[in-house]
Amino acid sequence: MFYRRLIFPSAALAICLGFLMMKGMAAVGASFFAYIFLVPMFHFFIYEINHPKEYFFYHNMGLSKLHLWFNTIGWSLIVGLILIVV
Amino acid sequence: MKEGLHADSISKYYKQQLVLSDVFLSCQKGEVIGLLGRNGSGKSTMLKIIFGCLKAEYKFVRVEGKQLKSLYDAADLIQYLPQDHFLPGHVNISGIIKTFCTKEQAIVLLQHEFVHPHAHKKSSQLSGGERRVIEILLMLCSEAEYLLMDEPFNGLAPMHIEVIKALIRQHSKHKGMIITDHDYRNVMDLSTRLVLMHDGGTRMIKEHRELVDFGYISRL
Repeated sequence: MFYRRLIFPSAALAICLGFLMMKGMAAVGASFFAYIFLVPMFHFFIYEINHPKEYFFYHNMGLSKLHLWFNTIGWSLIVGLILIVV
Repeated sequence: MKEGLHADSISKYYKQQLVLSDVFLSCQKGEVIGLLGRNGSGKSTMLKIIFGCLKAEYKFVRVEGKQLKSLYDAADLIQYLPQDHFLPGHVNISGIIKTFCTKEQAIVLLQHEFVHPHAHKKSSQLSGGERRVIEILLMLCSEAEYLLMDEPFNGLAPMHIEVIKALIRQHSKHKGMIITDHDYRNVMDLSTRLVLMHDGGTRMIKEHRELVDFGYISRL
């Protein structure tokens, strides 16, 4: 639920940026690279700036801010790097 | 020794000002503690520290014999209702309930008269009062044994307040609750014990007259 808000806009923007800045297969790689940075960026703007109170919902499920940030950065890195390598 | 929720030696500074000084608060199952205090007396800070989402200079919190050091430790024991709306705005109420509650609780909650008409709406489409009722119901129906409720009556219509008070009474038979709200009459009506935050500490209130003496209200 927490990451649904981050993944789709990050992926859409990453693809747009990748294909605007590069051509052919390089654009795909650039998109994956952009994705790694865009997910934490969306996390910051959506949850830290726009909806900081929503953190309490996840706190009640035992998830701290640190835990959520760690997952955001960790999973965006893992997914982005795997896609670049593949 | 009685189990329960014990918060002890809580100290907190805000910008070099001591807000909470060696504070103690306890709650047993079946108790509703009414936590009163003026604006800025540290009520919300205290609840957040007990819950674990705010760091303190020092704290010792133990629930049912288990010392809580992080939010993860508190997950099944304490739930915290913040004073502002906290439901994710991008998911419908049904999705929120299914994520937050167990399967059995979700079935019960989704059939509740205040929840059922809004099950397929997103929380951002509801009025403040409707959202608050659902937030409180989520807390009450959770498996947590202790609830910390920060201004539960904020933005609620009188009719909803009566319903929520009845539900709090019903659930307080097997849960411990600490409630703070500026609607002190409703808090006093619900609570089995009153505690006043004053001068960075907690004071047990045995007679309502003491609220006047400590300057919380001007007259009874």
